Amino acid sequence: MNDLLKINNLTRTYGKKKVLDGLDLTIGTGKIVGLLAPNGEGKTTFFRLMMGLLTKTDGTILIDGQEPSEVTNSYVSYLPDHYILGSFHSIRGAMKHMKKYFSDFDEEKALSLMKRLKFKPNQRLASLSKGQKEQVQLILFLSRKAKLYLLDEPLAAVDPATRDFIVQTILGSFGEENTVIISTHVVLDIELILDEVVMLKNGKVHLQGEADDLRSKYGMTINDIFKEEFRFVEGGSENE
Amino acid sequence: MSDMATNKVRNNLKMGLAAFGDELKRLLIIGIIIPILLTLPAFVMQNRWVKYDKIIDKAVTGEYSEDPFSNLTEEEMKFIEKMESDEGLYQLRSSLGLASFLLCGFLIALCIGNLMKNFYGAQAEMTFAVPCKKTVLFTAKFLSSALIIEFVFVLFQIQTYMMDDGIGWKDGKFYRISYSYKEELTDTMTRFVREYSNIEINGMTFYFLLVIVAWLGLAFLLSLTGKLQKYMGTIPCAICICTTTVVLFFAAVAGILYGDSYDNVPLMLTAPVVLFVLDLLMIRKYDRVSS
Repeated sequence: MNDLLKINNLTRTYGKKKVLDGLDLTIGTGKIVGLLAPNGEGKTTFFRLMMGLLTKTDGTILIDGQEPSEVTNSYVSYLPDHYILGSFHSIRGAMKHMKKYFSDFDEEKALSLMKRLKFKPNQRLASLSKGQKEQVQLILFLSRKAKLYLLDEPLAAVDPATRDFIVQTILGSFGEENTVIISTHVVLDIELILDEVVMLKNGKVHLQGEADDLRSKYGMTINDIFKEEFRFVEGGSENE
Repeated sequence: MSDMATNKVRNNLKMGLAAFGDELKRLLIIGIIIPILLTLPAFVMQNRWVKYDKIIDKAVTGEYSEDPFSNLTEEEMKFIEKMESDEGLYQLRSSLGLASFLLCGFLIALCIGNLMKNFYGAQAEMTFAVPCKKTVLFTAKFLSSALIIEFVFVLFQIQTYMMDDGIGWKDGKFYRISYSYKEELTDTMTRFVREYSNIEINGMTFYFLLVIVAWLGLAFLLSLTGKLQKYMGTIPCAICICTTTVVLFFAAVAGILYGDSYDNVPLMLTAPVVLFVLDLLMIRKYDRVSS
């Protein structure tokens, strides 16, 4: 198994605050990885650094052997945690945009997924609800044949019924030649599809391992491990 | 150059052109079609207006007759008379002028808004997470919007000339034709004389450059905010940005005003060019500003 993502001593500060503090992480190909952490622990910062949307303060990031750049952007598909398709009038317009900029965009797959969720290509994006817009966005980014998918909170704005569809779509987009990293704090819905779990705490990898190994070791579900590790107590987390 | 490097250059060029085209397409209606529609009535006026100096006004009788060298019809002469005195036509010209002015303002606001949204707002991920260099994307989007703004400015300047005066071709060059004086031919006959003068571009260049300076200055400050937030706290960051804003604004406006007074286009271009280069340097190491 090749290392698709290799991160050494990754540090990023905002003012005096270190959001990521010497993070080391290696992720191989052919895995669905859950990046789990409570709010404000640097999940979005981590993804933005992978995409070159932020510059690192220190450390190295290698995606398939290359520093984040326009080259890595051609094989990394990033779904942000907020809606970004604002400037297109219709779903078809957004699809055209994806096709123009990403040579790995699979239009047929996108159309088929849209159809399953009862979206029409001519439908105006402005007419969709917040949740529907995020579904369209998710479909577009999962319809790329990327080596690495970075999904930032893909389940946050969708109803429980659609969550199953999304989880199935993620599974359907995944193969031995690519890796999916899903950041979330809604662990329960995705726990069954995770191969590996990475928990971030205080800017570092707090816990990393195969999902099954962690379940056996702790004798509980990943959701419960997450709750246990990040249990909230007034004045700070219990483990601090 | 290796195959990989050649591919990178080719891909950046392709993406840059796509971004350039996208921006032009986005501004097609408001930046090209509507301005042309607003200019068309001025063309109709202009067609008759420029023949003005070929009319002989029989001042006493109030009739007009054709100059021996003119081919004006009576209808055209009446039209010209109306252009001078008719309230309705005056209002039409004023309305067209006002509509053009408002459209220019809206277009500028839209272009600046688009640029901010694309690079520093909610859609920054959509803009930057593509396989293209950030500097190429910024240049492509900036140039296409600038091109449209300048097109509209030039078009409306032409519209103003054509509605108020006229534009004519003489000695291999375009001239502004304006009403100058009435030449007394006889006691009862007057000939309207028109004057040919150079078309001044300073007016439109001046406003265009002001827009560009405001735009690039905003981009610079937003990029700077991202950089400073990485290294400094909020208060030093705010102080630096305020100081830079004042200095940049002062330098840009002073440069442009000085340049305009002395009719020196290269000097007028200094502030936007410096800002543009700074923006490219900043955008190379882009930092997503908002959370």
